[in-house]
Amino acid sequence: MAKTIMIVDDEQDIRDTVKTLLESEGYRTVTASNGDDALKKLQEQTPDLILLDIMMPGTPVRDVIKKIKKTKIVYFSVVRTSDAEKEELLLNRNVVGFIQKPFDIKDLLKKVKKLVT
Amino acid sequence: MDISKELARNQTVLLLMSGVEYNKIIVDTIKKLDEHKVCYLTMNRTVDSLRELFRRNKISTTHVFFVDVISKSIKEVADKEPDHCLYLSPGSLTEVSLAISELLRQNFDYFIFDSLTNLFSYKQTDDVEKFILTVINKVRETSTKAVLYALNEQEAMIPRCCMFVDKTLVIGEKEPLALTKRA
Repeated sequence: MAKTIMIVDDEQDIRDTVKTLLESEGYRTVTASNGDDALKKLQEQTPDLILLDIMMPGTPVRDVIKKIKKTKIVYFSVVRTSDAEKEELLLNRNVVGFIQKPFDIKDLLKKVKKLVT
Repeated sequence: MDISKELARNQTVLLLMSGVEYNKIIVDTIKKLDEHKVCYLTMNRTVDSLRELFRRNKISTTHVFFVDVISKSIKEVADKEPDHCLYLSPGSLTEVSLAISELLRQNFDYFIFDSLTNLFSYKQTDDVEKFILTVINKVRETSTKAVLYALNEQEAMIPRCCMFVDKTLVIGEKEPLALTKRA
């Protein structure tokens, strides 16, 4: 059965690009335009992985991730953090990795495959 | 490029660079300004990440006051580290603009805006242009010199950025120093 990836990003171009890429690799996708939208959609379904932008309008991501219980999260952002902050963020519940934007397509697909297998 | 020389001749300078050059440029720039009072607005990386980068390059940041518009999104932080950093939420450009106006009254020698690229990726173009113009106008009311960073990978936004500043320096492998000057 196809794995489901949720793409949470306030930029529609990014959502559309990543959705197209992942669907071409056989994944199912769900998109959300911000953290609040994601939380709403998570009440209806449980994806296998969430790609979550860090900087979005609405509820800050630090509060959004506290409400996500069952799904692995990968931060997906242009924001650069220190090594210590990365370690701290990785201690946080379901956060399992980082993908830096702009992203390399092969790298993105490789990481997603690794995390949902 | 000697940024301090460019800033001696121009009050506002935009550095356009590739993503590959970004770390080197921000390190070189802060190094050149190390004996001056600097206000550093970061919209690209957290203040901890910046300090880590500068520390690795043996650069002291005791002369730098940071305004961090990133950290509050990802972790719990106090609103302020007295004398070192002000943490703001990324949601409100008005709040950031007011804080910058207030800070510019404190006679900083230099103001660094890092970076316009990220601003364009977070906000609508009209809001961003209004914000940049407000900040530049506030700078012009003072004797503070401003350095603004932007990546030269977003071609659509480059002309918009250039029109706000006195001088634009394009830094890249193929184009070492292409200069434009505001009319």
